[in-house]
Amino acid sequence: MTGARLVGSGVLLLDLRDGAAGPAEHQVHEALRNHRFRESGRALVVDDVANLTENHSVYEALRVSKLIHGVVRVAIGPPVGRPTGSVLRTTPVLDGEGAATLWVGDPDGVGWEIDLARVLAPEAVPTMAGPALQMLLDVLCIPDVFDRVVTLAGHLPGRVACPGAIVVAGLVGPDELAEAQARAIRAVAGTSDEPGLDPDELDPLLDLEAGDPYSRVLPSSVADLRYRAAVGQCQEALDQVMAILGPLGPAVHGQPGRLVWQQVVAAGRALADFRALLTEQFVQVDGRNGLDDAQRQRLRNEVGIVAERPPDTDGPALTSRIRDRVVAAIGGGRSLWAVRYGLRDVAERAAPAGSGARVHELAEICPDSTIDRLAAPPPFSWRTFEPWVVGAVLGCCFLAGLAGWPAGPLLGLGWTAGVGLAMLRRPVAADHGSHVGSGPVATLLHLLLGLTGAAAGGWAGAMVPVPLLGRVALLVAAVSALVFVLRYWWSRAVDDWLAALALLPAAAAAIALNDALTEVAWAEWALSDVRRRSSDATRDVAQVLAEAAAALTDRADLEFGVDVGSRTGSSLRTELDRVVTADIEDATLLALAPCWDSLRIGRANLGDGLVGRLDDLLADYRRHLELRGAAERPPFARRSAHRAALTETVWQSSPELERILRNPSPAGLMVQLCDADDIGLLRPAAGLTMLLRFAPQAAQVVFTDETSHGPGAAGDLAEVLWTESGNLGGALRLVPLRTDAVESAWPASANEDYLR
Amino acid sequence: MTSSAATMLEGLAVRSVRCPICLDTFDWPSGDVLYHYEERGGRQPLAMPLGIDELKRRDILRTAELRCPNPSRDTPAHFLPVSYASYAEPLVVGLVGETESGKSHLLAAMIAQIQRGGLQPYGLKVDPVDIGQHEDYLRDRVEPLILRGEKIPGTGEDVTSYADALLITSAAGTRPVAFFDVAGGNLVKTGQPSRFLAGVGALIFVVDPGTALQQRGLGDRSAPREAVRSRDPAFDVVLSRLGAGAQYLDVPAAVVLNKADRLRFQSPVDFWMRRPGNGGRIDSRRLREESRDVYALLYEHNAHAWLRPFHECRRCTLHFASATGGEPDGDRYPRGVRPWRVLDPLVALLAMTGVIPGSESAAVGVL
Amino acid sequence: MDVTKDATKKAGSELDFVDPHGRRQSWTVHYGPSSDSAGTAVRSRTVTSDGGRTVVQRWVPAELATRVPASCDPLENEVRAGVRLAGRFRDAFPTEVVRLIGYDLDRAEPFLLLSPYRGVAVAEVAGRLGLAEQRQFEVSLFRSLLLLAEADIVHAGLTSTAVRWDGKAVQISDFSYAAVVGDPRVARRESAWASPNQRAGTGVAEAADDIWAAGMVVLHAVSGRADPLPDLAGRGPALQNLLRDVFAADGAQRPSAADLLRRLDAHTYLPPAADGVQQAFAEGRQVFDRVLTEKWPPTPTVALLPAPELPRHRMARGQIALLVAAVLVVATGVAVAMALLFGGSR
Repeated sequence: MTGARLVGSGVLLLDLRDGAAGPAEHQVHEALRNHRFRESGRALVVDDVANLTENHSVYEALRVSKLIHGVVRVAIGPPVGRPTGSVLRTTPVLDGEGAATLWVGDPDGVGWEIDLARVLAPEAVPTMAGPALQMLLDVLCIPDVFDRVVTLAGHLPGRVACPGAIVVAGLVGPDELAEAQARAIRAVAGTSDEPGLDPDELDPLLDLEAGDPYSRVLPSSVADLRYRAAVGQCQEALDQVMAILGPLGPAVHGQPGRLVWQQVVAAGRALADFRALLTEQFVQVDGRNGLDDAQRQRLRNEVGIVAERPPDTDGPALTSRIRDRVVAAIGGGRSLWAVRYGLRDVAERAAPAGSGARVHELAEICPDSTIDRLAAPPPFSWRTFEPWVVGAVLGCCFLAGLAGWPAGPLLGLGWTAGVGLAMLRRPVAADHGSHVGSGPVATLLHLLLGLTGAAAGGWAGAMVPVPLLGRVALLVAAVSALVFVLRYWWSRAVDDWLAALALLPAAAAAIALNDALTEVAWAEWALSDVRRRSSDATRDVAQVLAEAAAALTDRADLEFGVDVGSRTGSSLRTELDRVVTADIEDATLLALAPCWDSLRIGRANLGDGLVGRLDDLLADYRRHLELRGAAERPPFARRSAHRAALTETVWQSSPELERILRNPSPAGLMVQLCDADDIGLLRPAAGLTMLLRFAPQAAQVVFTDETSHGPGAAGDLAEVLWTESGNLGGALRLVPLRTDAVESAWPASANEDYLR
Repeated sequence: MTSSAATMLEGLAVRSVRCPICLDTFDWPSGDVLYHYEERGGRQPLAMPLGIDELKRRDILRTAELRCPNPSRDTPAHFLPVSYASYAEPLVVGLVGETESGKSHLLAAMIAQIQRGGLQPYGLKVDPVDIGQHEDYLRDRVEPLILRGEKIPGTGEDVTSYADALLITSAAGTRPVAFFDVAGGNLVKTGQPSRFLAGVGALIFVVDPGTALQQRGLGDRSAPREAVRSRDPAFDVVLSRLGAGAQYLDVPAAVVLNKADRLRFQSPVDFWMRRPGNGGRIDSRRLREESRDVYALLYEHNAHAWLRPFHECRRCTLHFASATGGEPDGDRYPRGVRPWRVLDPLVALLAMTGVIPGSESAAVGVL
Repeated sequence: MDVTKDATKKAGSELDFVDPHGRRQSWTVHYGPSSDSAGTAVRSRTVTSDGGRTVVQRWVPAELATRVPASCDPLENEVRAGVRLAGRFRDAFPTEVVRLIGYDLDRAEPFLLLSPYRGVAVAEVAGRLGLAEQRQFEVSLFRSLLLLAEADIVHAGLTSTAVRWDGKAVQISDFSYAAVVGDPRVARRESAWASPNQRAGTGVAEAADDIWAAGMVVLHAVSGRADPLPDLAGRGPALQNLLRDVFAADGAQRPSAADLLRRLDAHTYLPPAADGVQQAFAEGRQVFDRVLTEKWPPTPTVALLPAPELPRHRMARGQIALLVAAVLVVATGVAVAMALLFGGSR
């Protein structure tokens, strides 16, 4: 396999086995160009022992590259000349600073305990997490370890060593990781039968819909004039009716009745005009299919409605609105299906219904009956000869007559004057002649009534003389009673009429109509295009999410099987699920990122390439989990507290690692990566064998915690390298080779340059 | 030792009756030998022991038959129930139409439907008059057509022939109903047709859409007929012989546009073919609506000759029906035979003749 | 003569059939591969004529057609609807409905021929239509219903698979359950898309049956949920406005296709009926009535006269005057009486 790959947080892994030097060099250049590992500058090269010379050009390229400041070469294969004791044959290209060469004589290695000179089968080494070579490479991919190995190589003759390792992997095994991934992928995708998200959470226009619609209507526009006319006329009519109801009622205030009547009719007409204007515009403008410029112009000119698109709602802004909400929802643990359904609902809700659909609301707000009552007011029903009035007039005038001349006739005359005034103030239709005609007759009859009463009173007074005090009392009672009667009689009639007219509800209807207009102007006209675009965009995004969900589910089924064993949840599993789910969410969001750009510029197929991107990211992530564990942050993921918690949980119960870390001797039992027969080629001198102990940083807290490990727990661990990342902890020892183990050689095709 | 028929028939009222099969009139019961029809052995002379118990004797007589005397000797031997004299005057139903019109199929399909209990919903009980002949009819006509989907041969040209007779019992009593196949043509040739016509109580006019509407079935792969026909000789002869023209005939008639399956995708046939039966209820209004549509369809196709019965019979209904439900392919009906609405014309006739009593019946064929 | 059995032959086979107007046709055709439509006896395949015309053939295998005559019912229904539509629209045949090319149902292996399908089943694009396309779809769908209603046809089996969409117009296919308005309904318990009455199979088919089902199709097309509920609660305002009353339990309460088109601001134009023959038919019906009236002269019947309207009691002006006079007299009387009383006491 020849390939270049950037792993985890930036060690470039180059595998030159089976590759010719030319293409491999080309590949290195390619890799250098394409990968963003400038920050790290580390290259881990895996090569065949037999190829080292031929690949000189590659190493040369790495050495001279400004992007690379550290190269660790892992040379795999039996020694080039076992009988002569020579192990490697190479150009001296990598014996400078910043480089190290590790010879792996046998990928499986051999269990070797230097102290006891004991050799065991590699499987016999306890707690070794996996195949020795793979473990070695994984460990070297941890940047901290990489750097330390390069540093240590400086102490080795020729910067060459044979590595030995003992590595403990976190407690999360491959099966658990696979299951966690499957669960996480399914959780992120969700299922088609789950309920959709509340559209309010996703609606990109929610804030707009709650905006102030009244800013849409221009003052002194046609609509506004008509609105003011309707309300004003109603108000005026109400005032006039109230005026004829005034303290002295008909006697003092107000217009003649005919004018009041006209005012009421005018109010009805104004209200009808206003409603008609709205009805017409509602039907004609509609806005369901968007508004063109002509319609907007017309709205502005004829109705005085500003139907401009609100600010911050153009394509890019809308895209951001949608993206923010979708990212928040997915990042917040909502499944793709749920978000998709929610978006669908948003799309449906956003579709403008058009003002035509709301015409019926106008008739509900301001029913025909309201207008009709004003346009053709009910007759003012003042019953001129109500029995109780007749009785009261007779009675009072009688009493006044009893009080003595000329009180009775005067009261009768006064009464008649009051009635006459009221007759004039009676609201009547302009074209209603006969009703007015009956006024004088009725007034005369009232005069007759009063005089009759007065006459009877006078006659009775003549028969029965009343003392003066009594007379005064009688007169006062009669006069005040009649004043009260007139007032009550009149105001009751006016009240009845007012109630029948329903002027106040009419004014309220005008206001409600205006509210409806402004609301419609905003929601259906001003927002028409925005809503349409929002509807289409959210629908498209929903479709993209559907594709993503399908791709995720397919991948989970394909890679992890259709059914996932569900073990009872431990705290470890919970933490692991949290971390992995969050990572999958982030991967999904990253895969979706280009879709937002497409949406912003209005490209048709948002989902182009999505499935491929998602597949790549998931494959990377799977590899990441296998190599580095869940505790290490993949490049696309957010930082999260859960990850640290997970690491802690993982290492909390790892006595094996603790034992390794607390043992400062390089001579313990490890897997030495060479054949048992080749141990003789190594020089395990005490001072020369380098030991490197490392563990994930997260575990530092666990192992140095003095409360559980006793005082000085940290002391043993002073030299331990706390790596920033990783699922791996353990020890690495670098055993130098015999002095003449490395031969210098030049490639057969070498030109003069190499020999300079 | 068995008693003679004469003694056996003792005590039965004798009455002059008309035989629904040969249409002769004679006193009944009369004859020498009592017969009994048995499922397996066919018709057997009935031996009744002397001194048989009176109740048993009556029970035997209920199912016993006598040979019809057939004074005019123009009909093969046939038998009538001993109790025939107690029934009402037979109703003779003539099926009028050309040989190709599908009369035989229509009648066979009707009898098959009746046999399946198609008249039961109308409260009618049906028995054969002459069990032997009925069984023969079922065996020779109904079964080949209905069960095996075979085309059955039509009756000969210019022949009026007896087909089958049934005793139909309703609340109004038992009435023999005989079906005759009237081929039309030259009815004057034999003496029998005139007698038939004298006694005919109801007519079913069968219209063939092939001739009347120029609608040939797909399965009918014969060459198209040479000339468009504007008259139906069978209809004409029967109607003229009954004296139509001067005034309305008082013979109830039903005009059946047969082979309506050919038109089943055409309006208004497509509508009527899916109407469900109305569960044994006579619905004069619906009959009238269907009649109107049949009339209009024939009218639309200028098939005025086939509308004569409606114009000349006072009570006349028109119907869509299909005896076979499909077209034959050669001598077979490849998809089987599924009669459609074949009983409706008969039910209308039974209503118009009072066999099915009721006020709704009285309204059938009337405005 | 069973020509379809020669389907596998390379050489073209003869195919005789009747077109919807009753004309016999004979084509030399090549058959495409056949496909079973799940759940029904009807199979289909494409048929290419020598003239280069490609149509869809739907047929029931001979063995099945003979053994189970009811298995041909879907074909019968399709032909019935197809002939009716052809009779109504003739040359102006609408694109919204799959067109019947011909049929022969009286052979051992009954078949019918349809114009080729357009587009894809709506189920496949459900939830993906943009607003403009969605509206176009709705207009086209309800327009197709208008056309069906015009021909008095009830599709009775509208689903997201029976309705197809090509981005411009719908195509209504699969008239297997089609009925004519007034046919007794056939119970369709299994169909979640049918109206309650249809599922129960009560009453007679009416155009409103299709309105319900079309409402379900629209819901599916909009929401993308394959199991739409006939419920508008929580739906967007546009949809609520469009489908108002579409899911009324009583068919009479549901809007007609024309109403729905008006709600969509779409025209409800219909091609004029070719009425020459229809006229003769209508005339025949009138003649029938006339002849029947002549046969049965009407007997005079007593017409019921409407009850005369009672005059409403209203107080006349004169009566008011009388009342006033009476009051005056009484008042005077009272006054006199009081005067006498007081006078008496003095």
